[in-house]
Amino acid sequence: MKSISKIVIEILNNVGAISKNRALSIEEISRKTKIDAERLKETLEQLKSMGYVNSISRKGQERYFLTPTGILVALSSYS
Amino acid sequence: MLTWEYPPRIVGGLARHCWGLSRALARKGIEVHIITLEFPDTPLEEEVDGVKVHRVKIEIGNPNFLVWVLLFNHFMEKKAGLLTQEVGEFDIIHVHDWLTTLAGISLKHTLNKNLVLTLHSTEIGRSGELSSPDSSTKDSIEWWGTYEAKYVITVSDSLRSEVIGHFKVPEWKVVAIPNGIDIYVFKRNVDRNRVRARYGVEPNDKLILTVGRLVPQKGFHFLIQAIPKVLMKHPNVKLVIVGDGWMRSQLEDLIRGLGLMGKVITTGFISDSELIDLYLSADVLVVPSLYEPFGMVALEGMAAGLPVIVSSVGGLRQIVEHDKTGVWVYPGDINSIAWGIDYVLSNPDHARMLANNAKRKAKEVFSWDAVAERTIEVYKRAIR
Repeated sequence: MKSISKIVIEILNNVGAISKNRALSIEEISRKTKIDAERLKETLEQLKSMGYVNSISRKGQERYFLTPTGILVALSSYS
Repeated sequence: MLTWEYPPRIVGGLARHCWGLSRALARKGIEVHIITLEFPDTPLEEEVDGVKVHRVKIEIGNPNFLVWVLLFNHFMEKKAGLLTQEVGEFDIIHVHDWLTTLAGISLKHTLNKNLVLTLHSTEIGRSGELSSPDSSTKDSIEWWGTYEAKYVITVSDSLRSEVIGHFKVPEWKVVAIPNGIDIYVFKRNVDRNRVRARYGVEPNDKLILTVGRLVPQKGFHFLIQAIPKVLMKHPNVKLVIVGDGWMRSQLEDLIRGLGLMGKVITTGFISDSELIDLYLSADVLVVPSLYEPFGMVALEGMAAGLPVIVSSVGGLRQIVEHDKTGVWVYPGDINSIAWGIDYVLSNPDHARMLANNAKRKAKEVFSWDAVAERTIEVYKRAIR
Protein backbone atom coordinates (compact mmCIF):
# COMPACT_ATOMS: atom_id res chain seq x y z
CA MET A 1 0.00 0.00 0.00
CA LYS A 2 1.38 3.41 -0.90
CA SER A 3 1.62 6.05 1.81
CA ILE A 4 -1.50 7.96 0.72
CA SER A 5 -3.54 4.77 1.07
CA LYS A 6 -2.03 4.22 4.51
CA ILE A 7 -3.04 7.74 5.57
CA VAL A 8 -6.59 7.33 4.29
CA ILE A 9 -7.15 3.95 5.88
CA GLU A 10 -5.74 5.06 9.25
CA ILE A 11 -7.80 8.23 9.32
CA LEU A 12 -11.00 6.35 8.42
CA ASN A 13 -10.33 4.19 11.47
CA ASN A 14 -9.44 7.05 13.77
CA VAL A 15 -12.54 9.09 12.93
CA GLY A 16 -14.74 6.03 13.37
CA ALA A 17 -15.83 5.33 9.77
CA ILE A 18 -16.04 1.62 10.50
CA SER A 19 -19.63 0.75 9.64
CA LYS A 20 -22.32 1.63 7.10
CA ASN A 21 -24.09 4.04 9.43
CA ARG A 22 -20.84 5.90 10.11
CA ALA A 23 -19.71 6.02 6.46
CA LEU A 24 -18.30 9.32 5.19
CA SER A 25 -18.56 11.13 1.87
CA ILE A 26 -15.54 12.00 -0.26
CA GLU A 27 -15.87 15.64 0.81
CA GLU A 28 -15.90 14.74 4.51
CA ILE A 29 -12.88 12.45 4.13
CA SER A 30 -11.12 15.10 2.07
CA ARG A 31 -11.54 17.65 4.87
CA LYS A 32 -10.16 15.22 7.45
CA THR A 33 -7.25 13.96 5.36
CA LYS A 34 -6.44 17.21 3.53
CA ILE A 35 -6.23 15.19 0.31
CA ASP A 36 -8.02 16.58 -2.74
CA ALA A 37 -11.26 14.85 -3.67
CA GLU A 38 -10.16 13.55 -7.07
CA ARG A 39 -7.03 11.85 -5.73
CA LEU A 40 -9.01 10.59 -2.78
CA LYS A 41 -11.64 8.96 -4.97
CA GLU A 42 -8.94 7.08 -6.87
CA THR A 43 -7.36 5.91 -3.59
CA LEU A 44 -10.69 4.86 -2.10
CA GLU A 45 -11.57 2.83 -5.20
CA GLN A 46 -8.17 1.14 -5.01
CA LEU A 47 -8.75 0.36 -1.32
CA LYS A 48 -12.18 -0.99 -2.24
CA SER A 49 -10.67 -3.35 -4.79
CA MET A 50 -8.27 -4.59 -2.09
CA GLY A 51 -11.18 -5.30 0.25
CA TYR A 52 -10.17 -2.73 2.85
CA VAL A 53 -12.95 -0.22 2.18
CA ASN A 54 -16.60 -0.56 1.24
CA SER A 55 -19.17 2.03 0.25
CA ILE A 56 -22.88 2.65 0.25
CA SER A 57 -24.94 5.05 -1.78
CA ARG A 58 -27.08 7.34 0.33
CA LYS A 59 -29.20 10.13 -1.15
CA GLY A 60 -27.26 9.85 -4.38
CA GLN A 61 -23.97 10.27 -2.61
CA GLU A 62 -21.28 7.57 -2.24
CA ARG A 63 -20.14 7.13 1.37
CA TYR A 64 -17.13 5.06 2.44
CA PHE A 65 -16.26 2.99 5.50
CA LEU A 66 -13.62 0.46 6.54
CA THR A 67 -14.29 -3.26 6.32
CA PRO A 68 -13.22 -5.49 9.26
CA THR A 69 -10.07 -6.38 7.26
CA GLY A 70 -9.48 -2.67 6.64
CA ILE A 71 -9.68 -1.95 10.37
CA LEU A 72 -7.06 -4.59 11.13
CA VAL A 73 -4.79 -3.32 8.35
CA ALA A 74 -5.18 0.26 9.63
CA LEU A 75 -4.05 -0.83 13.06
CA SER A 76 -1.28 -3.13 11.83
CA SER A 77 1.36 -0.42 12.24
CA TYR A 78 0.66 0.07 15.91
CA SER A 79 0.36 -3.34 17.60
CA MET B 1 -8.40 -6.30 31.96
CA LEU B 2 -8.07 -3.51 29.40
CA THR B 3 -6.85 -4.28 25.90
CA TRP B 4 -7.35 -2.53 22.58
CA GLU B 5 -7.56 -5.85 20.74
CA TYR B 6 -9.47 -8.96 21.64
CA PRO B 7 -10.85 -11.55 19.21
CA PRO B 8 -12.23 -11.12 16.64
CA ARG B 9 -10.29 -7.85 16.65
CA ILE B 10 -6.89 -9.50 16.13
CA VAL B 11 -4.18 -7.10 15.06
CA GLY B 12 -1.16 -8.88 16.49
CA GLY B 13 -0.08 -11.22 19.25
CA LEU B 14 -1.68 -9.05 21.94
CA ALA B 15 -5.21 -10.25 21.10
CA ARG B 16 -4.14 -13.90 21.22
CA HIS B 17 -2.35 -13.28 24.53
CA CYS B 18 -5.39 -11.66 26.17
CA TRP B 19 -7.66 -14.36 24.74
CA GLY B 20 -5.52 -17.23 26.05
CA LEU B 21 -4.74 -15.63 29.41
CA SER B 22 -8.28 -14.49 30.21
CA ARG B 23 -9.77 -17.91 29.45
CA ALA B 24 -7.12 -19.66 31.53
CA LEU B 25 -7.72 -17.25 34.43
CA ALA B 26 -11.46 -17.91 34.19
CA ARG B 27 -10.80 -21.68 34.29
CA LYS B 28 -8.98 -21.10 37.56
CA GLY B 29 -12.00 -19.37 39.07
CA ILE B 30 -10.92 -15.76 38.58
CA GLU B 31 -13.73 -13.42 37.51
CA VAL B 32 -12.35 -11.71 34.43
CA HIS B 33 -13.91 -8.70 32.74
CA ILE B 34 -12.32 -7.65 29.46
CA ILE B 35 -12.82 -4.05 28.38
CA THR B 36 -11.91 -3.67 24.75
CA LEU B 37 -12.94 -1.84 21.58
CA GLU B 38 -15.94 -2.36 19.31
CA PHE B 39 -15.64 -4.42 16.13
CA PRO B 40 -18.16 -4.79 13.27
CA ASP B 41 -20.74 -7.57 13.60
CA THR B 42 -19.59 -8.39 17.14
CA PRO B 43 -21.76 -7.91 20.25
CA LEU B 44 -20.82 -5.10 22.62
CA GLU B 45 -21.42 -7.43 25.57
CA GLU B 46 -20.88 -11.20 25.64
CA GLU B 47 -19.51 -14.01 27.78
CA VAL B 48 -17.06 -16.39 26.13
CA ASP B 49 -15.64 -19.39 27.98
CA GLY B 50 -16.40 -17.74 31.32
CA VAL B 51 -14.82 -14.41 30.36
CA LYS B 52 -17.10 -11.37 30.36
CA VAL B 53 -16.27 -9.20 27.38
CA HIS B 54 -17.34 -5.56 27.20
CA ARG B 55 -16.68 -3.76 23.91
CA VAL B 56 -16.86 0.00 24.06
CA LYS B 57 -18.12 2.13 21.26
CA ILE B 58 -15.80 5.00 20.48
CA GLU B 59 -18.34 7.81 20.27
CA ILE B 60 -15.87 10.52 19.28
CA GLY B 61 -13.10 10.13 16.72
CA ASN B 62 -10.18 12.23 15.58
CA PRO B 63 -7.91 11.90 12.53
CA ASN B 64 -4.84 12.01 14.78
CA PHE B 65 -3.94 8.56 16.08
CA LEU B 66 -2.74 9.70 19.49
CA VAL B 67 -5.86 11.77 20.09
CA TRP B 68 -7.94 8.77 19.03
CA VAL B 69 -6.10 6.61 21.59
CA LEU B 70 -6.77 9.18 24.33
CA LEU B 71 -10.44 9.24 23.35
CA PHE B 72 -10.89 5.47 23.47
CA ASN B 73 -9.06 5.39 26.82
CA HIS B 74 -11.75 7.76 28.09
CA PHE B 75 -14.53 5.43 26.91
CA MET B 76 -12.79 2.42 28.47
CA GLU B 77 -12.42 4.29 31.75
CA LYS B 78 -16.10 5.22 31.68
CA LYS B 79 -17.05 1.57 31.04
CA ALA B 80 -14.88 0.40 33.95
CA GLY B 81 -16.57 2.97 36.20
CA LEU B 82 -20.04 1.77 35.18
CA LEU B 83 -19.02 -1.86 35.68
CA THR B 84 -17.81 -1.11 39.20
CA GLN B 85 -21.32 0.13 39.99
CA GLU B 86 -22.90 -2.95 38.38
CA VAL B 87 -20.71 -5.84 39.51
CA GLY B 88 -18.81 -4.43 42.47
CA GLU B 89 -15.19 -3.58 43.01
CA PHE B 90 -12.35 -5.11 41.04
CA ASP B 91 -9.24 -6.34 42.82
CA ILE B 92 -6.77 -5.66 40.03
CA ILE B 93 -6.68 -3.38 37.01
CA HIS B 94 -4.57 -5.16 34.37
CA VAL B 95 -3.69 -3.19 31.24
CA HIS B 96 -1.79 -4.22 28.13
CA ASP B 97 0.73 -1.94 26.40
CA TRP B 98 0.74 1.86 26.27
CA LEU B 99 -2.52 1.87 24.32
CA THR B 100 -4.63 1.33 27.46
CA THR B 101 -2.15 2.51 30.08
CA LEU B 102 -3.65 5.96 30.66
CA ALA B 103 -7.12 4.57 31.41
CA GLY B 104 -5.49 2.06 33.75
CA ILE B 105 -3.59 4.75 35.66
CA SER B 106 -6.75 6.84 36.12
CA LEU B 107 -8.68 3.79 37.33
CA LYS B 108 -5.90 2.89 39.75
CA HIS B 109 -6.32 6.26 41.46
CA THR B 110 -10.09 6.72 41.21
CA LEU B 111 -10.93 3.16 42.31
CA ASN B 112 -7.93 2.93 44.66
CA LYS B 113 -6.88 -0.41 43.18
CA ASN B 114 -3.58 -1.96 42.17
CA LEU B 115 -2.39 -1.68 38.62
CA VAL B 116 -0.55 -4.39 36.67
CA LEU B 117 0.88 -3.51 33.27
CA THR B 118 1.88 -6.09 30.68
CA LEU B 119 4.28 -4.79 28.05
CA HIS B 120 4.33 -6.81 24.82
CA SER B 121 6.89 -4.52 23.18
CA THR B 122 8.26 -1.00 23.53
CA GLU B 123 8.13 2.01 21.24
CA ILE B 124 11.92 2.25 21.19
CA GLY B 125 12.08 -1.38 20.12
CA ARG B 126 9.37 -1.07 17.47
CA SER B 127 10.72 2.09 15.88
CA GLY B 128 14.41 1.73 16.59
CA GLU B 129 14.62 5.37 17.69
CA LEU B 130 12.32 8.01 19.08
CA SER B 131 12.56 10.21 16.02
CA SER B 132 9.09 11.75 16.01
CA PRO B 133 7.04 13.60 18.64
CA ASP B 134 4.43 10.81 18.52
CA SER B 135 7.10 8.20 19.20
CA SER B 136 8.37 10.18 22.18
CA THR B 137 4.84 10.47 23.56
CA LYS B 138 4.26 6.71 23.31
CA ASP B 139 7.62 6.12 24.98
CA SER B 140 6.68 8.53 27.77
CA ILE B 141 3.33 6.80 28.31
CA GLU B 142 5.15 3.48 28.55
CA TRP B 143 7.54 4.95 31.11
CA TRP B 144 4.65 6.50 33.05
CA GLY B 145 2.93 3.09 33.07
CA THR B 146 6.00 1.32 34.45
CA TYR B 147 6.18 3.98 37.18
CA GLU B 148 2.50 3.78 38.16
CA ALA B 149 2.08 0.00 37.95
CA LYS B 150 2.66 -2.11 41.05
CA TYR B 151 4.16 -4.78 38.80
CA VAL B 152 5.16 -4.87 35.17
CA ILE B 153 4.91 -8.13 33.26
CA THR B 154 6.98 -8.61 30.12
CA VAL B 155 6.45 -11.43 27.63
CA SER B 156 10.12 -12.46 27.53
CA ASP B 157 13.40 -12.15 29.39
CA SER B 158 14.85 -9.97 26.63
CA LEU B 159 11.95 -7.52 26.90
CA ARG B 160 12.36 -7.51 30.69
CA SER B 161 16.01 -6.43 30.29
CA GLU B 162 14.96 -3.82 27.73
CA VAL B 163 12.29 -2.38 30.06
CA ILE B 164 14.59 -2.32 33.11
CA GLY B 165 17.38 -0.70 31.11
CA HIS B 166 15.37 1.81 29.09
CA PHE B 167 12.88 2.96 31.73
CA LYS B 168 15.18 2.52 34.73
CA VAL B 169 12.62 0.35 36.53
CA PRO B 170 13.71 -1.55 39.67
CA GLU B 171 14.40 -5.18 38.81
CA TRP B 172 12.02 -6.54 41.50
CA LYS B 173 9.13 -4.81 39.82
CA VAL B 174 9.43 -6.47 36.42
CA VAL B 175 8.43 -10.10 35.95
CA ALA B 176 8.89 -12.04 32.71
CA ILE B 177 5.98 -14.36 31.94
CA PRO B 178 5.95 -15.77 28.41
CA ASN B 179 2.96 -16.11 26.14
CA GLY B 180 1.19 -19.43 26.08
CA ILE B 181 -0.28 -21.72 23.49
CA ASP B 182 -3.34 -23.96 23.21
CA ILE B 183 -1.46 -27.00 21.96
CA TYR B 184 -4.61 -29.11 21.58
CA VAL B 185 -5.84 -27.01 18.65
CA PHE B 186 -3.01 -28.48 16.57
CA LYS B 187 -4.11 -32.04 17.25
CA ARG B 188 -6.30 -32.67 14.25
CA ASN B 189 -6.09 -34.46 10.95
CA VAL B 190 -5.90 -32.37 7.83
CA ASP B 191 -5.87 -33.30 4.17
CA ARG B 192 -2.51 -31.72 3.40
CA ASN B 193 -2.85 -31.94 -0.35
CA ARG B 194 -6.25 -30.29 -0.28
CA VAL B 195 -5.04 -27.46 1.97
CA ARG B 196 -1.97 -26.92 -0.20
CA ALA B 197 -4.05 -26.90 -3.38
CA ARG B 198 -6.02 -23.91 -2.03
CA TYR B 199 -2.82 -21.87 -2.23
CA GLY B 200 -1.45 -23.33 -5.46
CA VAL B 201 1.06 -25.58 -3.70
CA GLU B 202 1.58 -29.04 -5.24
CA PRO B 203 1.87 -32.20 -3.07
CA ASN B 204 5.60 -32.52 -3.82
CA ASP B 205 6.42 -28.87 -3.33
CA LYS B 206 8.25 -27.77 -0.19
CA LEU B 207 5.89 -25.35 1.53
CA ILE B 208 7.62 -22.62 3.52
CA LEU B 209 5.18 -20.76 5.73
CA THR B 210 5.48 -17.34 7.34
CA VAL B 211 2.81 -15.48 9.31
CA GLY B 212 2.42 -11.96 10.67
CA ARG B 213 1.43 -8.36 10.18
CA LEU B 214 2.87 -7.08 6.92
CA VAL B 215 4.98 -4.31 8.44
CA PRO B 216 8.75 -3.69 8.13
CA GLN B 217 9.44 -4.94 11.69
CA LYS B 218 8.50 -8.48 10.58
CA GLY B 219 11.29 -8.64 7.98
CA PHE B 220 9.25 -10.32 5.24
CA HIS B 221 11.06 -8.28 2.56
CA PHE B 222 14.28 -10.07 3.50
CA LEU B 223 12.65 -13.48 3.39
CA ILE B 224 11.23 -12.81 -0.09
CA GLN B 225 14.67 -11.73 -1.31
CA ALA B 226 16.15 -14.97 0.06
CA ILE B 227 13.80 -17.13 -2.01
CA PRO B 228 15.69 -16.89 -5.37
CA LYS B 229 18.79 -18.22 -3.58
CA VAL B 230 16.78 -21.09 -2.08
CA LEU B 231 15.21 -21.89 -5.46
CA MET B 232 18.65 -22.44 -7.01
CA LYS B 233 19.05 -25.55 -4.86
CA HIS B 234 15.40 -26.40 -4.14
CA PRO B 235 13.35 -25.53 -7.23
CA ASN B 236 10.15 -26.97 -5.77
CA VAL B 237 9.97 -24.47 -2.90
CA LYS B 238 6.91 -22.27 -2.43
CA LEU B 239 6.57 -19.53 0.17
CA VAL B 240 3.14 -18.71 1.59
CA ILE B 241 2.87 -15.42 3.47
CA VAL B 242 -0.17 -15.21 5.75
CA GLY B 243 -1.27 -11.84 7.08
CA ASP B 244 -2.05 -8.34 5.95
CA GLY B 245 -0.86 -4.85 6.66
CA TRP B 246 0.02 -1.55 5.07
CA MET B 247 3.18 -3.00 3.50
CA ARG B 248 1.28 -5.59 1.45
CA SER B 249 1.41 -3.70 -1.87
CA GLN B 250 5.14 -3.09 -1.47
CA LEU B 251 5.78 -6.77 -0.78
CA GLU B 252 3.66 -7.78 -3.78
CA ASP B 253 5.62 -5.33 -5.94
CA LEU B 254 8.83 -6.96 -4.67
CA ILE B 255 7.50 -10.44 -5.50
CA ARG B 256 6.63 -9.30 -9.04
CA GLY B 257 9.94 -7.50 -9.43
CA LEU B 258 11.88 -10.65 -8.55
CA GLY B 259 9.75 -12.76 -10.91
CA LEU B 260 8.47 -14.86 -8.00
CA MET B 261 4.78 -14.91 -8.92
CA GLY B 262 3.44 -18.39 -8.26
CA LYS B 263 6.45 -19.13 -6.07
CA VAL B 264 5.56 -16.64 -3.33
CA ILE B 265 1.88 -16.40 -2.43
CA THR B 266 0.25 -13.77 -0.19
CA THR B 267 -3.04 -14.80 1.40
CA GLY B 268 -4.13 -11.73 3.39
CA PHE B 269 -5.88 -12.43 6.68
CA ILE B 270 -7.28 -15.94 6.97
CA SER B 271 -9.38 -17.56 9.69
CA ASP B 272 -7.71 -19.25 12.66
CA SER B 273 -9.00 -22.60 11.42
CA GLU B 274 -7.46 -22.09 7.97
CA LEU B 275 -4.21 -20.98 9.59
CA ILE B 276 -4.04 -24.14 11.68
CA ASP B 277 -4.65 -26.17 8.52
CA LEU B 278 -1.73 -24.38 6.89
CA TYR B 279 0.59 -24.93 9.86
CA LEU B 280 -0.25 -28.63 9.69
CA SER B 281 0.35 -28.76 5.93
CA ALA B 282 3.63 -26.81 5.75
CA ASP B 283 7.20 -28.17 5.72
CA VAL B 284 9.01 -25.27 7.38
CA LEU B 285 8.09 -22.10 9.29
CA VAL B 286 10.27 -19.01 8.97
CA VAL B 287 10.02 -16.02 11.34
CA PRO B 288 12.35 -13.37 9.85
CA SER B 289 11.53 -10.55 12.31
CA LEU B 290 13.88 -7.65 12.93
CA TYR B 291 12.33 -6.94 16.35
CA GLU B 292 10.27 -9.51 18.22
CA PRO B 293 9.78 -9.24 21.97
CA PHE B 294 8.14 -12.68 22.03
CA GLY B 295 7.22 -14.32 18.72
CA MET B 296 3.89 -16.08 19.08
CA VAL B 297 4.09 -17.36 15.50
CA ALA B 298 7.25 -19.35 16.27
CA LEU B 299 5.50 -20.96 19.21
CA GLU B 300 2.52 -21.86 17.02
CA GLY B 301 4.85 -23.46 14.48
CA MET B 302 6.56 -25.45 17.22
CA ALA B 303 3.22 -26.64 18.58
CA ALA B 304 2.23 -27.71 15.06
CA GLY B 305 5.37 -29.85 14.80
CA LEU B 306 7.18 -27.75 12.21
CA PRO B 307 10.91 -27.11 12.04
CA VAL B 308 11.17 -23.38 12.75
CA ILE B 309 13.76 -20.94 11.45
CA VAL B 310 13.87 -17.67 13.37
CA SER B 311 15.88 -14.47 13.45
CA SER B 312 18.16 -14.46 16.47
CA VAL B 313 16.42 -11.50 18.11
CA GLY B 314 14.53 -10.82 21.33
CA GLY B 315 12.05 -13.39 22.53
CA LEU B 316 12.71 -15.68 19.57
CA ARG B 317 16.11 -16.50 21.08
CA GLN B 318 14.34 -17.54 24.27
CA ILE B 319 11.64 -19.67 22.64
CA VAL B 320 13.90 -21.38 20.11
CA GLU B 321 17.29 -22.89 21.01
CA HIS B 322 19.61 -23.01 18.02
CA ASP B 323 19.96 -26.51 16.58
CA LYS B 324 17.94 -27.99 19.45
CA THR B 325 14.40 -26.76 18.89
CA GLY B 326 14.94 -24.81 15.67
CA VAL B 327 17.45 -22.80 13.69
CA TRP B 328 18.67 -19.24 14.23
CA VAL B 329 19.52 -16.95 11.33
CA TYR B 330 20.87 -13.40 11.34
CA PRO B 331 18.09 -10.76 11.24
CA GLY B 332 17.86 -8.89 7.95
CA ASP B 333 20.48 -11.12 6.31
CA ILE B 334 19.27 -12.66 3.04
CA ASN B 335 22.16 -15.12 2.80
CA SER B 336 21.66 -16.29 6.35
CA ILE B 337 17.92 -16.82 5.84
CA ALA B 338 18.59 -18.79 2.64
CA TRP B 339 21.19 -20.83 4.52
CA GLY B 340 18.69 -21.65 7.29
CA ILE B 341 16.05 -22.84 4.85
CA ASP B 342 18.57 -24.94 2.92
CA TYR B 343 19.91 -26.42 6.19
CA VAL B 344 16.46 -27.64 7.16
CA LEU B 345 15.36 -28.81 3.70
CA SER B 346 18.66 -30.62 3.00
CA ASN B 347 18.67 -32.47 6.34
CA PRO B 348 15.17 -33.91 6.76
CA ASP B 349 16.06 -36.31 9.59
CA HIS B 350 17.71 -33.55 11.58
CA ALA B 351 14.80 -31.23 10.83
CA ARG B 352 12.40 -33.88 12.17
CA MET B 353 14.43 -34.10 15.38
CA LEU B 354 14.33 -30.29 15.78
CA ALA B 355 10.57 -30.28 15.22
CA ASN B 356 9.97 -33.06 17.75
CA ASN B 357 12.05 -31.27 20.38
CA ALA B 358 10.21 -28.03 19.65
CA LYS B 359 6.80 -29.62 19.97
CA ARG B 360 7.76 -31.14 23.31
CA LYS B 361 9.02 -27.77 24.57
CA ALA B 362 5.84 -25.98 23.43
CA LYS B 363 3.75 -28.47 25.35
CA GLU B 364 5.83 -28.55 28.53
CA VAL B 365 6.83 -24.90 28.93
CA PHE B 366 4.22 -22.73 27.26
CA SER B 367 0.77 -23.85 28.43
CA TRP B 368 -1.77 -21.09 29.15
CA ASP B 369 -2.55 -22.69 32.50
CA ALA B 370 1.08 -22.23 33.56
CA VAL B 371 1.00 -18.63 32.33
CA ALA B 372 -2.23 -17.99 34.27
CA GLU B 373 -0.76 -19.45 37.47
CA ARG B 374 2.26 -17.18 37.25
CA THR B 375 0.02 -14.19 36.49
CA ILE B 376 -2.15 -14.97 39.55
CA GLU B 377 1.03 -14.95 41.65
CA VAL B 378 1.75 -11.44 40.41
CA TYR B 379 -1.84 -10.39 41.21
CA LYS B 380 -1.47 -11.76 44.75
CA ARG B 381 1.77 -9.86 45.29
CA ALA B 382 0.18 -6.70 43.91
CA ILE B 383 -2.76 -6.93 46.31
CA ARG B 384 -0.58 -7.61 49.36
